[in-house]
Amino acid sequence: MSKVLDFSGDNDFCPGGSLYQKPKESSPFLSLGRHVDVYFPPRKRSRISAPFVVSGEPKQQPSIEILPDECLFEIFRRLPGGQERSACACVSKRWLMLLSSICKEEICTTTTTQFLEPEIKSDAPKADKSIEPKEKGESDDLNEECLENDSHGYLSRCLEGKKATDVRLAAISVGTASRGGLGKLSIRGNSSTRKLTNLGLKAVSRGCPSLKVLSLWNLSSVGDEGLSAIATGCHSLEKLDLSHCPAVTDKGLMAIAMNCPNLTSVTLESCSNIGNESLKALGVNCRNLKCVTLKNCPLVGDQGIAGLFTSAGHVLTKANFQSLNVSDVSLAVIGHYGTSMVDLALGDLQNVNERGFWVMGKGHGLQKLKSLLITSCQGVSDMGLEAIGQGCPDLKMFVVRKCPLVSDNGVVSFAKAAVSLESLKLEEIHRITQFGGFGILNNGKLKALALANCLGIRDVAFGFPLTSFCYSLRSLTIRNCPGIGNTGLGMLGKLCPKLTHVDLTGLQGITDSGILPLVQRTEAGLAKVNLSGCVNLKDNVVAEITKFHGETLEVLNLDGCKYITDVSLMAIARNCSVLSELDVSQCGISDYGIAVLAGAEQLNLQILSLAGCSLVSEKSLPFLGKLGKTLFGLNIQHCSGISCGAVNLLVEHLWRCDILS
Amino acid sequence: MVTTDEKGPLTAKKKSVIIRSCDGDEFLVSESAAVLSTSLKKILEEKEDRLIHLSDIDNKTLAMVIAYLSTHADDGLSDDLKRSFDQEFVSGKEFDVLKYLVLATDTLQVTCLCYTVAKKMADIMKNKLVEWVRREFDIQNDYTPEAEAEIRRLDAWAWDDRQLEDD
Repeated sequence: MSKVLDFSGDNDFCPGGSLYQKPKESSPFLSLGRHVDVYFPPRKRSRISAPFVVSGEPKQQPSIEILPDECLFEIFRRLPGGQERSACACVSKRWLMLLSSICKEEICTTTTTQFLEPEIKSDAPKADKSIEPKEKGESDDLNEECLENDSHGYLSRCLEGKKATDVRLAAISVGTASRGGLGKLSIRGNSSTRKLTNLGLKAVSRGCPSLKVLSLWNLSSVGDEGLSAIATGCHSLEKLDLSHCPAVTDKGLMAIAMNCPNLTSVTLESCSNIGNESLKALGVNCRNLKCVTLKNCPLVGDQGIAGLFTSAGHVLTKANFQSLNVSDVSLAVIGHYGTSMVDLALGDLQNVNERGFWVMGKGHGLQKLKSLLITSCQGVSDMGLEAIGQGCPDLKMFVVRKCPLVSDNGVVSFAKAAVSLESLKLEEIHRITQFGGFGILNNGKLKALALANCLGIRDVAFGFPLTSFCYSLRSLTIRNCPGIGNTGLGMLGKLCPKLTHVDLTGLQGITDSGILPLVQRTEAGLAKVNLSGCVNLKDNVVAEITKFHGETLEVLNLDGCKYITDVSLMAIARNCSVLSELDVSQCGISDYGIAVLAGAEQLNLQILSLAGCSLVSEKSLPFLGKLGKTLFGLNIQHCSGISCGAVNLLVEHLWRCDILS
Repeated sequence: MVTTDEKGPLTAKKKSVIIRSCDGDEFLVSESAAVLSTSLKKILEEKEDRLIHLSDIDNKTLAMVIAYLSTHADDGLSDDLKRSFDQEFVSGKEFDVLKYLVLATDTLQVTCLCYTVAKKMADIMKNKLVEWVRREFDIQNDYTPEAEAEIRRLDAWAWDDRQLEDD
């Protein structure tokens, strides 16, 4: 064999030499470790110098805890699979953080490691192991570990409140890295979130290169450093949602803009340090950007909006701008460059004047706009509305809320100009009167009209000339407009014979005689009727509705109509054949009505609400049980006549029904 | 006492270096072997000293490292032979021994040996309980019980269908 084994203490140790004659029998090297102490009797020499002294007690065996990160790093990246890495993450926090710092590219796979390692040469690489060159071909083999990854779905994680910590993020990063990686990460911070910093995001950036959706809310400790790490590590990012992240500035967002070309959607809400530069960078670099939402970002101004739209106006399809310090200029830019815009929402833009909206319409860029929503903008005037109507030929849906300057003339001329308009909703537009309401109906294509909380609408004493019927209107909503009474409603009913959906929530001023014309004259069958809060309606209305529309009525809401009694339920039971939702909360119905309802064989009620019906007692239980065969939802809240025990019995019996009690 | 390399007449005159372990023992190594360690190379470049004291590597570990270095410094061996040497070098070694080896390779910056040993250690750690790892690495668990439970829950998949060993 070799000299090493024959070695007697007297001779000198000769490394090399004949040992290599039989390299296949290299076992001597293995035993060397055990015998080596014997071979080297102490030779006491005077120490000349000690140029390489590492501090520490020389005789003490070093604890492995002092294994430097570099060593652990080398071991970790050679662990055979993601399972082992996840298991090691449980050992200690330090190990977890270290594991989370390993990039996917740095993981060595079993098959390739041995042969791709650089051969040791006398000019050995100046080893900085953390940034050693990537070994070619390794990353391809990594895919073997991604078997659990569904090609369509992706892993999603959400951390909230106190649970949002760096440690948890690191664990997620380590745990998901080998399972195809995390696709969606949401972090919802609150006042108890303290242990989440840029460090956590760095771990994510290393372990989750396939991250597509990142949503960060209420995180004051996450800043540019974390976001830049994400930009570096997660190039496939598609959606970014930042809300109340005051530490993030333009620097972080610009890094994202420059490194994530697939970004399609950006939402920034109350990010006090993000401004115009970010928006410009997004516009210039993100060629796929489709949706932009900006809310309450004080540094965002005209320059940012202009930068965004001049570069990306032709790709942006959806935008939502609220509470921004922008002026007329921004709206002019949107109106000119927003050539692909389909869905636009503007809210609380206090510095935009009349001219802004006018020029947005006149810009003739919004040719594809289909949906427009304007809320709380002082600048919207009649003139602006008309210009928008003319400038957006494709506009199908328009909602305007809380704009004090808008009046009848504007709305009517808008409805006239907007040739494609199908749905119009006016909310808290107090200058609208009944003339405006009727004028809108002259638009031949309108399918849905909604008036909500418009205090200016009042019954007009004199008759309105019924010149043209509105045959297109299918859905009419008049919610909480206390001024409207029987006369106005009656006229509307006559004007719109094709209604199928009627929502008259909270019209306290109307009685049976106001609704009857609408009910009796409708040529098409009513499908959904909501009369909740119309406190003065009586059984007669229900009788007429079910008589005329029993075969089409699907949803009937009588919530709070206190004069409705069992008579109505009898009419429903007799006439309705397709009713699936019935709400008789706080009505004057009793056990008898329920019994009648349960007796109607043709009914297939799916949702029934009896909340606050004090006359309903436990005698109804068998009937509810019978109705329950088809029910998915049953509301018996505040039914004082039904005890807890009875409710429990019911819950047990109707196990497939969702019971609110 | 200390002899020169016995590589033959041509290399006999090659310079040697003396390396002293923390136990005080000295090892004679050919310079060609020593310079495979980036740390040693740096020292030799900077100073003329032929004696290098390593205060945190013991006899046993140092001897192993030197055997490794000498093998790899031998130009007469093919790469294949060196590789099979590497394989056998780490096989059968105790985990404890490997720990000191990897520490030594880090100190001496012997990249290739570091990789080999790290690989071996990673292989051994496969299918081991967390408790085993903590014991072997002498690591204090700094997780709170809740945090550890949470980490384990997050990575629940890592524990499924696995027979873990504790020795």
